[in-house]
Amino acid sequence: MTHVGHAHHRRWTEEFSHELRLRQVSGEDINEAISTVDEHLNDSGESASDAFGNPRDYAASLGLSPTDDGPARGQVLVAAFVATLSFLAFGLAVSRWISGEGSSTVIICTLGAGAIMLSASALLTLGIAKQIVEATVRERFTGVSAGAWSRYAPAAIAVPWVFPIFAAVIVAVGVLRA
Amino acid sequence: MTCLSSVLDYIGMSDPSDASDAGLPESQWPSDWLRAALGLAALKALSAGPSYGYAMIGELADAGLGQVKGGTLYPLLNRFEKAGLIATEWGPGDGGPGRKYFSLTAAGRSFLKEQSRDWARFAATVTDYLAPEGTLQP
Repeated sequence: MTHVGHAHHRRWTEEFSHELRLRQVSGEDINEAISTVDEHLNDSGESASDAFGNPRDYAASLGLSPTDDGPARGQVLVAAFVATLSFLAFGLAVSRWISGEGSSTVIICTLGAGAIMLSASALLTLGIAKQIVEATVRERFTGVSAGAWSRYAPAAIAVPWVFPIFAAVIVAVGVLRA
Repeated sequence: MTCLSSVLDYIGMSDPSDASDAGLPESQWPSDWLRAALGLAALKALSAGPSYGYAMIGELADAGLGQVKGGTLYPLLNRFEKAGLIATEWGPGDGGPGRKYFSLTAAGRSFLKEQSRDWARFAATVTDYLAPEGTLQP
């Protein structure tokens, strides 16, 4: 019973859970793995490294699967969809505004679509960056290749800004022609 | 001479009950053999009903398989759980935190039955083959 709270045990557990987090194991699975270790050490009175060896090796040997990144990928797709729609809406509204149709509806549509487009582009960039970081970490710790993510990382992060840049070009061209 | 002294060492280190056959003490089965047998033995340790890690290790030691480490047993149980051979459930502990109880699923039970039969055939085949000439049973 003496080992829990002991510095060695705490360090072992920290290293163990750190390794599992890097392997993108879910928080629930990490808690369960740690509880199982604690239970065993309480029963046997052994030290963590006597019973389980190196925390990194033990984390690897458990074979816990990484969390499903389906939801994160879904968010990226939704952000891309919203960015495209708001870009089209902004293009339509702003061209009307520039051609002299300065009604309040057109102005509100232009500003609203522009704001939504900027936020969606920012969210899309964050989402893509997160995917890239996770793919890279996964490659480092589980050997699963990051594949296209690592090769096209800079392009992938830049892509969402195509929308605001094109929108700015539309505004500039329209203003110059008006 | 050195051979005799190493045998005497073993006898000295092991229980009096082990001394009579002068073989390896239980805790020193070659790890390769244990690795091959441990999976089935762990499933067998659950055949009487749900159990938890430390109790299973005790049961395996009592069965003569030596002292299995937690670092060996739990990854094995995790793999069996993934394969659907065992199920887990957290139950109350004795005053401590919770306990993770492992139990055989129906699939695990039939896997154990089949593999135990095959293991017996395998062990008999190896034993027959290894038997010194002339002692082979017809």
